[in-house]
Amino acid sequence: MKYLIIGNSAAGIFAAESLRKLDPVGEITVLTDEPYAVYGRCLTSYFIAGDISEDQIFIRSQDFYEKNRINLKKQEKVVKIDFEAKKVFTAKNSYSYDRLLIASGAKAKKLSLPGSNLPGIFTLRTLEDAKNILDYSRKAEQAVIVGGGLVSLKGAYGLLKRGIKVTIVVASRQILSQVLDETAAGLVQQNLEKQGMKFLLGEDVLEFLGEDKVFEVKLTNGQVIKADLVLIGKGVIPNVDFLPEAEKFSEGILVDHYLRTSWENVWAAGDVAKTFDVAHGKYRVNALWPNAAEQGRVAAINMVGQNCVYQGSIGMNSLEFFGYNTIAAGITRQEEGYTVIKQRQGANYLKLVLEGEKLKGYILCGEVRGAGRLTQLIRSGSKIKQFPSFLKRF
Amino acid sequence: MREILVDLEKCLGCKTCELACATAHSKEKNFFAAIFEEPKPVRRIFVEADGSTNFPLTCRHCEDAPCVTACMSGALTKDELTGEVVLNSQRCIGCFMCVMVCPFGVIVENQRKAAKCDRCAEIGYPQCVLACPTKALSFIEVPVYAKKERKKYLTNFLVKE
Repeated sequence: MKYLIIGNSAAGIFAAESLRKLDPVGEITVLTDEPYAVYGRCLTSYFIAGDISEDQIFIRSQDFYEKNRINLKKQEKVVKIDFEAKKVFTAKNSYSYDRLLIASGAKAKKLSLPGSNLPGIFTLRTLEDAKNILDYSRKAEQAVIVGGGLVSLKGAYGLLKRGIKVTIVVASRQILSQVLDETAAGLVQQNLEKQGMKFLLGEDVLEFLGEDKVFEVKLTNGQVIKADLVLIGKGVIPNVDFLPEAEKFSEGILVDHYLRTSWENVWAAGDVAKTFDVAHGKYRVNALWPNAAEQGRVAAINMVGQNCVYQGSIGMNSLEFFGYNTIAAGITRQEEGYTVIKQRQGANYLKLVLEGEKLKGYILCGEVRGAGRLTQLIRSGSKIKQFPSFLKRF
Repeated sequence: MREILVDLEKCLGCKTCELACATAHSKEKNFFAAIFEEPKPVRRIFVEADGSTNFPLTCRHCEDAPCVTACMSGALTKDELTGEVVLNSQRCIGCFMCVMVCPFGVIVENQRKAAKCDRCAEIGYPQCVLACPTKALSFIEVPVYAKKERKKYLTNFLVKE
């Protein structure tokens, strides 16, 4: 059996690893457009910060591919798939398959504003990006971060730790507007401000100013702020350019409960896959490491022919800045039609979002112990009869 | 492979295991020294109570461990030989994704990194098991434990007759 995997990150690697466990003799090939062995994409900001070294970013041992007999083909960007002939084409080669996993991930959204192509404007997605940012940051004093999402904040953290002044421009009235409610976002923001980050909420960038490189950023309120370096964190879009009628898949490749796509012998997993969201009860892309890794594992089980139902994804995030932890999962912002329990004690904050007796989402700030039990309650859909005892600290 | 197993009928909820655990993971490995250590040693076993039932909960070393899939730094791995879920603190960056997904809630924070039951790898034998005054905890092979349980059941059954 010939297994082919497009993508060498969480979904791709966990799939390859599981395939090898389940099928000791099958041929496993992994294609990546990057020049690296598997690394932790979410570690790039820690790398910028100097918290970890470059070798620590690689999350598997050096002999990982050899030991598991996985053929890793680096710098092979997929350009086309012929589903009839069961062939994947890269710029240089073609690869045939019996079973294919599309785990091509996503790429950072770029801005199309005046000046957005100036040198010094970055997105943070790959190790290459991180290295470029780190190099460039050595001559930067002041950075502007556009967007208030997790990647933006982590990038800002990395630059701040390198002694660069950071200003974060957020279009919403709060940071992390996809993940947290206002109260939790306020707590996280306060903590970051204490460390020296500056926030401009309800503002957006109008244009980037500079000649041979970015120099200033002009905001919608007319204000112009100095920026030697700009980091754009406006979310990600799935990598689907190589698919026929790619525009149809701009919101991800829809998969069934077995993570099968509509093409025969083709599965999809990770940031490119539109899976069933347990909390929201509908199909959506939850582009997060834990979801991707689990989907990779489940897809592999199905690729060898054992039927394994994927239990569904959950939007869940864990963030840690300067010792202050926040974990949130499921529905956290919407309150209408739900029963909401909120408790606050100093820097500790708890929010439970229930639909009837079923937990649909939660936020924990400060003390986060036992968060996984709440995640499990969302997953299992069990009824909650009484306030969970492990949360009694509130 | 040996597991830390619990006899629910014997657990009184005295939390001696919690103390022994924290002590085993302290610098001095001595209770009276450990209580004065800063930062305070952290326990990795938690006695949960539900009415009359007490249950000491610790890492179950899951087959398809959610913490291993969630770990983005490669710190958590499943040892295929021993079946143990192993945490390499050197690699841990304290993102607490594992805390977010552990369905038993037994991964905790210790000095801004994750901490969990390592079956007292440093000492060589789980100290909670040694410390348990009622022998509610045991560290044995599952089939041996199952045999013991079957025997107990039959004895009780015969006695009742």
